[in-house]
Amino acid sequence: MSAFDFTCNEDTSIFIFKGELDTLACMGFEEEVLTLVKTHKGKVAFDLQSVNYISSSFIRLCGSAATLVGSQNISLINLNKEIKKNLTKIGLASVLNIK
Amino acid sequence: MKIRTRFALIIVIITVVLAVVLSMCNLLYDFAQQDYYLESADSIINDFTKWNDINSQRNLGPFAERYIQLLAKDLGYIVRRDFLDNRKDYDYLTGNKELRKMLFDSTYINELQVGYAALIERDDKIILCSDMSDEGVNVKEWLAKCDVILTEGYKSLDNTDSLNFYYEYTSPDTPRDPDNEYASAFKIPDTNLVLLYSLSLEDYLQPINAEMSLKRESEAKRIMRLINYEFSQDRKFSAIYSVLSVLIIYIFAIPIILRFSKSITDPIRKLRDEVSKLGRGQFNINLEAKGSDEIRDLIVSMNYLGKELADFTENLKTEIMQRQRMETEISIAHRIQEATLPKIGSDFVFKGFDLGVKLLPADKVAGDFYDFFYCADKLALAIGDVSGKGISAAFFMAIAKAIMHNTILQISEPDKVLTEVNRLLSQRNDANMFATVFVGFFDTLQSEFVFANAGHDNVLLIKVDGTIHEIGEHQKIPIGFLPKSSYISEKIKLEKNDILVFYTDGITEAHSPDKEFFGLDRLKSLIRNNLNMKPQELCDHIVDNVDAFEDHKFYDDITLMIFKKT
Repeated sequence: MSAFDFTCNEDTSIFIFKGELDTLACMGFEEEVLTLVKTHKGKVAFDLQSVNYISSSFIRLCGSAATLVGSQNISLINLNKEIKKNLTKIGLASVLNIK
Repeated sequence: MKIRTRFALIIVIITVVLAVVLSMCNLLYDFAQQDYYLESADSIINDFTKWNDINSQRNLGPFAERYIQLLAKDLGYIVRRDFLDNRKDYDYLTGNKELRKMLFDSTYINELQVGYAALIERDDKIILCSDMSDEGVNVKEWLAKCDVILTEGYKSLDNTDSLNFYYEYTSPDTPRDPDNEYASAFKIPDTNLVLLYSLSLEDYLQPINAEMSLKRESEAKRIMRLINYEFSQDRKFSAIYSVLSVLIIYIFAIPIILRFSKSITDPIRKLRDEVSKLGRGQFNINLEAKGSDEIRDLIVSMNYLGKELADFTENLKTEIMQRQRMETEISIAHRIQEATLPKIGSDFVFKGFDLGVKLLPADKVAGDFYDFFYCADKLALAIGDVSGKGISAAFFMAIAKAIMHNTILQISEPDKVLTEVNRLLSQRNDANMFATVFVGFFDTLQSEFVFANAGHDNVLLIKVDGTIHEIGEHQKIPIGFLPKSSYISEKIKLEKNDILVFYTDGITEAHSPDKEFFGLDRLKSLIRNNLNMKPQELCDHIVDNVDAFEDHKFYDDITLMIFKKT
């Protein structure tokens, strides 16, 4: 069973994650996510509505995805307040197009 | 229980059950056959008796008929000669006791009355009769009561001297077989008298038949006894035969069973021995596949299993050796990494400050780092956290720290240090590794602290009065994330007993088994309550608290560096 749900709308690939995205969890799905990103190209959106914790490994995954599709084509959506605050604090809010 | 014993027991049980069932069937059949023979014998004897009765009647009947003919004739002559003597006085005869006795006696044979005798005056009355109640009865009236044949026969005496015939005896008191009554009528010459005799052949032959009946019963009993004896003997022999059969089966079958079961158990025993070798780690078993199909399959499977286990064990050994080598290498890496981290030794000179550091890796190697060293009159302080964990993080950490150390030696402005380090790390960073870094310079002469932050947790500034401030909220991205990033520097003045706490998220994001975060507030509270501790003591105390909070399970590297202005 995959740790995330994947849907593809027109030119946007949407990855819906759940739970805590700690280093171990990220190691489990990193390769699969990057393969899908490579395959579908276009814009990428990481939906974090059901996520309550992200580790630096997930931020690295976002960076890798941004490298593949271009930073202007990646976005993080539906973040909770705490995660948004942490990403803003480390200056990644604009880089990862937090919405 | 052993297979051989089981086989033997099963065969014994099957044989006994079969023997019992067959014996029961045989016994039931025997009893049925005995009944059949007894019934047949009984039937034959009864039929024979009936046939014998008829036969005796047929064979002896003529003698009886002849007997009464002669009797009637003789008595007739006796009556004429001895009682009439040419007299025509029939009254003389009436009630003559001597003649009546003669008539009466003549109807008896073997003390059994078998006949009827009457002296009749023709067309008048019965003069004498063996049945006294008929004496004096008018002949016509008497004949009216008699059978038609007797009546007609009597009339036909007009034309003949004697007459013999069968007739039907109609008396309701003693019903008889119609054909069994034989009559003989004799006209006494020179008289008007008729001597009538009738005889029951059945009664006449009764003594003979009675004796034959006795003989028949005796014979029947003998035959029954014979049949019963024969069958009881037959049953005895059957029982002996059954027991002997079972014994013979055992004598021949048990060695065969034992041999058969041995052919099964021997391969299994060998297989068991080989399997026990497997348990001792001797996997190269190669048993010859023989026995039944199932046993052969089992042996082939066990040989295959042994080979697979041997291969697996070999692979496992290789794997373990590789793992051990990797462990060794990681241990070496750990030692190397530890060696790259500065220690506060006895030779370290504190110039107006005190310092404490603590780094606890979650694995053997850490992705966190810290550094402190003097650049002229300035103390450079740095703390960092590489994304991820393990070897990759440790490797990146080693590079980042080395670059940073060298850069700091060349550039003494924190923002420029971070810009340069970021530029260098971003080159060929295909794995997109990055690190959050907080770097600062403490001017030991001016008591000023200049710092820059690349996405790292803010440093806590604890003033003498216990107030805690967070410094470094620059919102700048970690180094290595984007090639072209810029950072800013900030300067603060430190007063005596001011404390700076550098930490990584391994402390604030440490979580309990209940998934509760340790959090910044708990860290601040812990610091505030232990301000009197020396920096190193405070470091140890905080790490101990985190360790207990996580129930001694580190999920992330923990790094803490506490600087105190003295």
